[in-house]
Amino acid sequence: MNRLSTSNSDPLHLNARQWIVVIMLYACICLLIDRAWLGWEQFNAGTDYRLPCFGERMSDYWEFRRWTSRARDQYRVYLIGDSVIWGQETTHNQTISHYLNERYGQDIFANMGMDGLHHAAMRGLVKIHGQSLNEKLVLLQFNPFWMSDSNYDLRGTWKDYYHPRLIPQFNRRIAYHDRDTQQRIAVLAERRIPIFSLVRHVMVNSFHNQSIQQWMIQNPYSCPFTAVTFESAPLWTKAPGPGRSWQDKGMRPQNFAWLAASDSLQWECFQDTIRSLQKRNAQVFVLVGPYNAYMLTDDSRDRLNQLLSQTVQWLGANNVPYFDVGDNLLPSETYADEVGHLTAAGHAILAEALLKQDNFRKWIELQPPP
Amino acid sequence: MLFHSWIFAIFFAVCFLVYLPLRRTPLWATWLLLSSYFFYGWWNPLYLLLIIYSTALDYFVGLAIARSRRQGFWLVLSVANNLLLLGFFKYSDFVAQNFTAILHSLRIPLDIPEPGILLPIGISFYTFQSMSYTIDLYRGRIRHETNFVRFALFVSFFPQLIAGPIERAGDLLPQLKHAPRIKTHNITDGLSLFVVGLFKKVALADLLAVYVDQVYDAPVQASSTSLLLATYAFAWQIYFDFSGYSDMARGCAQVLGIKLSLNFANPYLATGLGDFWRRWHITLSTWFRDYLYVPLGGNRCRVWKLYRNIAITMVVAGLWHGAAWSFLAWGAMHAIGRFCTRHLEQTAFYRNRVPNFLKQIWVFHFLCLTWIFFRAESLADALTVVKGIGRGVWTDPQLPIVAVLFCLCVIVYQWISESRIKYLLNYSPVKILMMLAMLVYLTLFTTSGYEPFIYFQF
Repeated sequence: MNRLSTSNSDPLHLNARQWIVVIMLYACICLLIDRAWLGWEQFNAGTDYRLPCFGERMSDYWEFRRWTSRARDQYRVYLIGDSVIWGQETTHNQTISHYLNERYGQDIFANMGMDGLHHAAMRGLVKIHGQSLNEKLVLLQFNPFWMSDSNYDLRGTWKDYYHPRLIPQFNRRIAYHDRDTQQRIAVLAERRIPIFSLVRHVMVNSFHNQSIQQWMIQNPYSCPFTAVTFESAPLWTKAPGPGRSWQDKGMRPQNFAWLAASDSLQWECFQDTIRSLQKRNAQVFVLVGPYNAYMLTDDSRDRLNQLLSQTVQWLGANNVPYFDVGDNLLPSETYADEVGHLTAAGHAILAEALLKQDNFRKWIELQPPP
Repeated sequence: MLFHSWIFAIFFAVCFLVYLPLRRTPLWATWLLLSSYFFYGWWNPLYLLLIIYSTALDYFVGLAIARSRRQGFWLVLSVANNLLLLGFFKYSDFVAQNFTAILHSLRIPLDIPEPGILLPIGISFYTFQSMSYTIDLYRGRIRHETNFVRFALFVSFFPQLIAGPIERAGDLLPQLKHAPRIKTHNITDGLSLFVVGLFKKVALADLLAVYVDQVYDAPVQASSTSLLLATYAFAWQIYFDFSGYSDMARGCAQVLGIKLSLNFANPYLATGLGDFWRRWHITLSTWFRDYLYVPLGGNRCRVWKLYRNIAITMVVAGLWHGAAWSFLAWGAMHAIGRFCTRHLEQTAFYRNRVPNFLKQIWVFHFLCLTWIFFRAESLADALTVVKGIGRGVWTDPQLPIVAVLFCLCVIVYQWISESRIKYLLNYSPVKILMMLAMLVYLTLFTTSGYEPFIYFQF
């Protein structure tokens, strides 16, 4: 048997010049698609917009990038937090951002809340996808619920966490369990290459959160290009939760352990988020809470108060303006559960209370640095 | 650590960046060896003990063959050691199962315990490579290697360690004598090979795999159309999977300045079964030719002996792929195919009158029939698939049209590459557009799901 020559089977050998052309064209295509998609895909935020971030759309951070980028000209203050800020128990026009805009008399507050955005994820979101937050006024919600036990602090026995793509991928203190090194390196690579965020967005938006290859298997006779609609997800107007108080739902008081701030990874991440934003000339205001102290046993409430006093002390020492919602501002019936989700009435009360705070009013009048 | 993973990308980048300056020192081979052991140990560090043992034994056997008069003894020791290793790790369960079945059929209620040992990855490849060294040494075709590091690197050079190409000492060891020179074309050619291999694996093989797995996992429920198309799809899947791996292996080695052998040459354009084995898994088929078929007498003997030689070679080649009756059947079918067509292929009528495309179509269909036995979970499943295709229940097969288009494009590409108009593929814009299309497709259409290579299990 004679061996066939290599040229017989491998005609696709590119020389250095051809490779340079390929790499340049490839880079141009990736950059152009990433930019052009912003124009191709219809997006009309309207008033009281909030991100369609539930279920399969949770990992679509390209939406966050687009929303923060579009909101730059219209809104002065970005409200970043978890589903409490987003408005889990309310419609889109019953959220804290809506009531702040209404009571203030101008539309300057943008709802940037995301479901399940714990502090480690918030840090990732701000650092990786938050270029548009530079030199803006950013209200960060500090929800102590994410420090209620070691599982929420990413060090427990849970197999997975909310927003695994946003958390640090190689931190000795985080228990990664089933997430192998390959997956974690892939996440780091995805973060560095912007086109991958767009690919994920297209997968979520047009291919039911499947890879395009998987979609082709399920739709064997369709062309994948026909599935791309170039239309954004509709505004999430309805309330995912029933909007009732925790007592109406028949929930009972809980006895959370609460971690000490000095021992909490989530708290470290929250501090790092503030520092990261400050480095980028953003003006940060922290909303401590809301948290449902009514739903805690006495012991648990004491431990929570210790934790909060530590966090508030740090904010004060670092000259970060803040507002602690406290135990008594919001009536028990405005809380929907132990996480701190509020009913529409709760959002309204909180917005009014915030606007009455001198430090908050001073803060929103701040001009971005030249 | 799969070639199409980010871990490998990091590993290779580190390996290459350290290797570049080290090439000016005697440490370059040690570095490549350490990198290879790290690469292999990534799967399971315990496997390292086995490969080091096998390497050390063949190294000392090589020295003994060169210095001793009892060369035959040392050769037998090396071959027996390699075959025993392979037999123990790969075939012990199969042998135990079949002994138990025989005992039960004789109404002897005895169960032979199955060792249940995990097959060390790549063992079939590196034992064959190592064995070829001692056999070639015994035959006087090569000189013995005195440097242990160099010999160990020959056995375990990481690009080809897990699934070939199975290199010969005469080809690879001379390249390891001196620090390889790395020129621009090494990088560009290596990169070209790697991207083509990556595209074959991730874009083509993994797409077809989803369809094939669906059908072959439940062959009883599948219609004739689905079974037929899944069989065609598997023929292309295994080609893209394995040749994609080989391309990536050759690409990595090329970047390091080392040339590995061609393993695939458009096998589905073969016009006969003999021609197919000259194009498919070339380094394995030439291994069996040189170390089994020719020593048995090859084709320079009487007809019945020739058929015996073909039968033994093909059945052993089948069993090399896996310890199961279906692999044995796969090898036996190839042997029968060769019996039936060998003389036909040599006739003037077949060579001159039958159009090439007709020959290619029949060869491809015969291969597809054999692939059924290769892919099915068991012999019974394979027969179910064959019966299912023959049943004639023709329903909508739901095979993705994009996959069919891809396969057609590859056929056209391969056909052009072996035709008179192959110069078209050498035009710069054509090459650039093809490479660009592959990169863009890989970026936009595939995600980070990592299917292992089929040939890793062998």
